[in-house]
Amino acid sequence: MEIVEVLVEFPSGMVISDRATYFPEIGQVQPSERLVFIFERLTESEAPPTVTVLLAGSEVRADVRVDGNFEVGPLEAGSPTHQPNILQRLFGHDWTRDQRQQFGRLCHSFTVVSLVGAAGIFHSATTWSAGELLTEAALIFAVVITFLLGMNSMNGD
Amino acid sequence: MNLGLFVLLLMAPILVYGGYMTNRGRKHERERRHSRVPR
Repeated sequence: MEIVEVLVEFPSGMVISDRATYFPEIGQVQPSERLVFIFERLTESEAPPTVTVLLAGSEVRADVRVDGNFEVGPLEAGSPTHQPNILQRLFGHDWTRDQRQQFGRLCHSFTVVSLVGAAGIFHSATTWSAGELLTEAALIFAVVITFLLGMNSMNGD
Repeated sequence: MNLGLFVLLLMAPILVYGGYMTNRGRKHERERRHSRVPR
C-alpha cells in the first residue's frame, strides 16, 4: 500500500489532482471519499474523464471501476525495475507542458543571441561582402525561426 | 565556415527535436484530455 498522485482530466478541461491509496497486490487505486463524491457529481453532467496515476515516477492510465476504485493498466513502463535506454528516454515519453515551456525559453534564448550576433555584425562590418551578407541573413533567419518556434512551444496549451 | 551557417547547423538538431517533441506531447495530451467515449 502506498500513497500516489491521481490526475482526473475531464474533456471540458477541468483537471482534478489528488492523492489516493495504491494497492499493488490487486492493481487498484482507492481514491479519497471527497474525490469519489466530486467524481459522482461531475459525471452527471460531464463526459467520462481520463484518470492518470503517477506510479514510480511514470504516468499510468487507469480505468474507473463500478465500485469507484481505479484499476491501473499494465505496469511495464512504470515499473521501477524497468531501465529505459537512451533512445527511450529521449523519445519514449511525451513532453509535459513544463518541458514545452522550457524549450520555448531555450528557443527565445537562441533568438536573443542570434539577434545580438546579427546586430554586432551589422555594426562591425565595414564592407558588405557576400560572406558577411550570408552571415547576416542566416542570423536573421535564426532569429525569426527560433522566435516563432519558441512562441509555438509556449502557447499555454 | 560561415558563422551564420555554423549557428544554424548547431541549432537545427535541437530545434527539430524540440519541435517534434513539443507537437507530439501536445497531441498526446489533447487525445488524453478528450476522451473518445461519446457523451
